[in-house]
Amino acid sequence: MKQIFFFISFAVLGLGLYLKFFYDVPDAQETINFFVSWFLIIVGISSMLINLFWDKDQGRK
Amino acid sequence: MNKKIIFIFVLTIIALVVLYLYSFGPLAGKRIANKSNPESLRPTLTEKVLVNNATQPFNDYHNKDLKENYYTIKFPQDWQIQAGKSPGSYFSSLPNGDRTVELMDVPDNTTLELYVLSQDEPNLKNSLKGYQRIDYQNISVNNNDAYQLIYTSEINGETFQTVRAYISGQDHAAVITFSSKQQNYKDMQSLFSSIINSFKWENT
Repeated sequence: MKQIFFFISFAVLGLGLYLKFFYDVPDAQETINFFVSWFLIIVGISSMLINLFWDKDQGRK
Repeated sequence: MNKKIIFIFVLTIIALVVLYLYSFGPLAGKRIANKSNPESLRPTLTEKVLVNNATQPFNDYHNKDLKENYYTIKFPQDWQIQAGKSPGSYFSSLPNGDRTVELMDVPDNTTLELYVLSQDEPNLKNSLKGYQRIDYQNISVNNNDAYQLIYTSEINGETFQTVRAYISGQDHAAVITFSSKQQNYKDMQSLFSSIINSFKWENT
């Protein structure tokens, strides 16, 4: 379960980075691309951190 | 629940709210500023160019409005050059026809030629009265693939002939449009060609 959650977080982060740096954004869609890419990057990083700390917490118990 | 997890969760929510404000809210205006660079309107060099067997002074304009799409173009010194509506564009209006240079975003999933024939030309047909294609050909502008469309249309009862050149680039394509009254087009053709052929991408 832990690996699946981590993989999904990693995929979300990867998609965000792809949209931010590699996707050719049409002129009219720059704002939505800015929002979606940063949204995915933030959610991806925070879910990976949550996954990391959740594990440590479970380990101590 | 672990305090660190709660902290990360709260931090994420705050970051998302700030992101929303920065994208669509009151902070968005600062990010989406007009990207036109005042330097783009200052000619950097004047040189004489041979047009119709006579030399004519031309000014060099370096457009640095859009990153990855810097270009240089020469215009006759006597043309009043203004910034166009969008970044990376020029506009010069004369009583006998308009002249524009603009950057066009071509989606990755198509080619410039397909885009011209399937999107841009139908748009012209719909928006211009009496649109009629005169010529369409594949040309080369300073080693860049380009397409040249020549057409006539009617404005206020007068027939105008327009040459529209699409020059492919790494990111955007450049679109140079020159129109003149049909009876004057032959005299202007050589000048239009000189300007189109002076176009150079700076980052290629």
